Amino acid sequence: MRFDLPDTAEQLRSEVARWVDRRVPARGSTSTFSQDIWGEFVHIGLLDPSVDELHRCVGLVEACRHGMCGPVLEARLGVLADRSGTAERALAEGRVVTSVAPSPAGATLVGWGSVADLVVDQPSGAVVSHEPLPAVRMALPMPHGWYQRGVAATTDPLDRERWLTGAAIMAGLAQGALTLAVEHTANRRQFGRQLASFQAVQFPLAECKILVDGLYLMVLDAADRADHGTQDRVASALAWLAAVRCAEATTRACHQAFGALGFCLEAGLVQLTWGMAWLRLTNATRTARSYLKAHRQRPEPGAAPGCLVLEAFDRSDT
Amino acid sequence: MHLDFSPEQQGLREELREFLGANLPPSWVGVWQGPQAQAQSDMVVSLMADRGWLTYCWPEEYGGSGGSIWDQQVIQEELFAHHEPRGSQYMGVNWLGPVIMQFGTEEQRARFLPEISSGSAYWCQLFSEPEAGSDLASLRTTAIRAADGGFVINGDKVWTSYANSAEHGFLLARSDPQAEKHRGLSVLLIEMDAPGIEIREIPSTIGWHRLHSVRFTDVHVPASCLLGTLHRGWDVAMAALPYERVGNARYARTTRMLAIADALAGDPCDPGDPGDAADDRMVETLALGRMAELLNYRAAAVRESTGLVGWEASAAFAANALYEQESAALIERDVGFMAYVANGDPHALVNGELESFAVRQAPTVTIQAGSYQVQLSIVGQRGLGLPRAT
Repeated sequence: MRFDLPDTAEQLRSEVARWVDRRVPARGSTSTFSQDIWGEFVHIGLLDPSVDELHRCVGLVEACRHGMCGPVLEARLGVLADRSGTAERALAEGRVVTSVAPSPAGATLVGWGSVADLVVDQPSGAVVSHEPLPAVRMALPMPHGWYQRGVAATTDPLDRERWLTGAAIMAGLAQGALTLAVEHTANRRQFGRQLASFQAVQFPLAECKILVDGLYLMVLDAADRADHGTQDRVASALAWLAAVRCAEATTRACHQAFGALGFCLEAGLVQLTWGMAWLRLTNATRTARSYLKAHRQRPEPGAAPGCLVLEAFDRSDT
Repeated sequence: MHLDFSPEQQGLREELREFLGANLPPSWVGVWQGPQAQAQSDMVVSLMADRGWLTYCWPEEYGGSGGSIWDQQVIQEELFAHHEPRGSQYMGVNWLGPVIMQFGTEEQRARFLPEISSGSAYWCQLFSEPEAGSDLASLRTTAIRAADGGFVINGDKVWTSYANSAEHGFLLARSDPQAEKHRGLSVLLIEMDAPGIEIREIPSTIGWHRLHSVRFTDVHVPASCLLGTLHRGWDVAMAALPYERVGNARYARTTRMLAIADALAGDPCDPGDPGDAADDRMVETLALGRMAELLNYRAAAVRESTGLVGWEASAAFAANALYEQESAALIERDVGFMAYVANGDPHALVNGELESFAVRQAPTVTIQAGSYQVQLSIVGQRGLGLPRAT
């Protein structure tokens, strides 16, 4: 049992942290997309298919503390889906690559679709657009786009990557939201005291800290398993379900701690919680639940049940 | 970063499972379920001591086997998963022993540590009082210096587990009533059969002889009972409590109970069935369980690397509590009132294992080890750097 990260992962984490603190505004920005910052993010290399999952996830958690600077998950899945290499080359040039998740026929939302240079269909791997998609109207100016899917595509060939990458991004967003809420409740005074000195405020934030830390550990564990091929799909699906739980709790607690300010763009919180909503409202939860239910391993009659969670699932899931 | 046990530790786990399968009676659901349970616990403790498993990770000089903290984690998981057959012995291994190693005199170490290692003596923790629960420093029991250098103890302790079977007590009492409340406290290691100690069971729904009150009336103990520095008992108690949190593998029992409940549910579910909400809850609860496991491992890793128990142990204990209570609610929903049929009734599910877990243990987890709210305070202040909250 080793908890220390490899030196190279620690170094990557530090470098990404410095870039985020220097270049990605934590608050005060009303823009949800910058081509320059997206290009810099891509240049770091976290979406490069050759990067191992542990390094990728360590970097993504750190990179998303101030919000998603573009279609992080969609670009990752788009590059994986497109076997022609077109998406990977476009991404390497700093262009905006996004992708369409499996969905029923009809209009479907595509993350950062209205600023995309290239759109890949995840189920088929086909490039379906070389230009921006029609913009979606939303309260927060997220540059998402509309795509009209002709035929339903509901199976997800990239489920493990979606769960793991999504959970890593979620961990970063949740960490960021919690950091903002802690800072706000330590600084703001009501009834002559710091907000954070009220148990009713502090306890939910402490519960979020437990969930955020726990999610981070689950992401690193699943990433390590993905690199070594041991129950990585189970671990990734579990991490995703934990990410959704963490996102719901963190969103609720942080907005409550901020009050009305939490819904103002200048506070920076809403960009993070909308990012969490964008991720958690995908169909990844349904596929993760289905996968885990299908791979439950009930003890044989008369056999002793195990006491560790991974023992509850079969080991042939890699 | 690699969060798996080694093949050797997996081997130890298999050995423990085989041992427990062979030596625990099918009706075993914990030491608080009937008067015969203590004798069964004694037998298992004795066999474990013979194998060196009781204090496996203690230093060899104190009767241990020099095992790693991860070996000990495996032992804790397997024993907690089987309703802690060591009974009160787990306290000796987890926190009493380490605290005596840290604060005890040579004489105290020589006397008490081999007893714990061999499983030959039982302990109870004498902290809570009628007016001092989570606010432990408000305790009123006094231990006043006598003319011979010893102490005279007067007062009442309450909610004491194992008081009926313990030979020794780990007592926190007020040795200087004039001092500020966190000062003027001392820890005494006392004999529970001393004249003037009156033990009374508090009947409860959560187990046979589970809770007791202990009254001290002019109980005289020698000066050699003092653990640590006079009037600095708060430091000793605060050193003890985190050990209680870090050694407590409650999540392992929860996962085993979910597996048992799941097996009762019958055929594996159809993953495409949109109506299987109970199975959705099961896998989501297991995700919380995996989180609890990893948070407990992190707390153990902190202890391994620093030698200290940090706020991470409180985070782990709180996660255990969330997982345990969510799982108990899930079991209740799935099996209905059958969850309330206890060991000894011929219709009890799995000899009453689910009842013991869901009805007796899980509801109390949030009031143990200082209470869930105390864990959140520790996480808030030490983990997030927030101010003390009221």
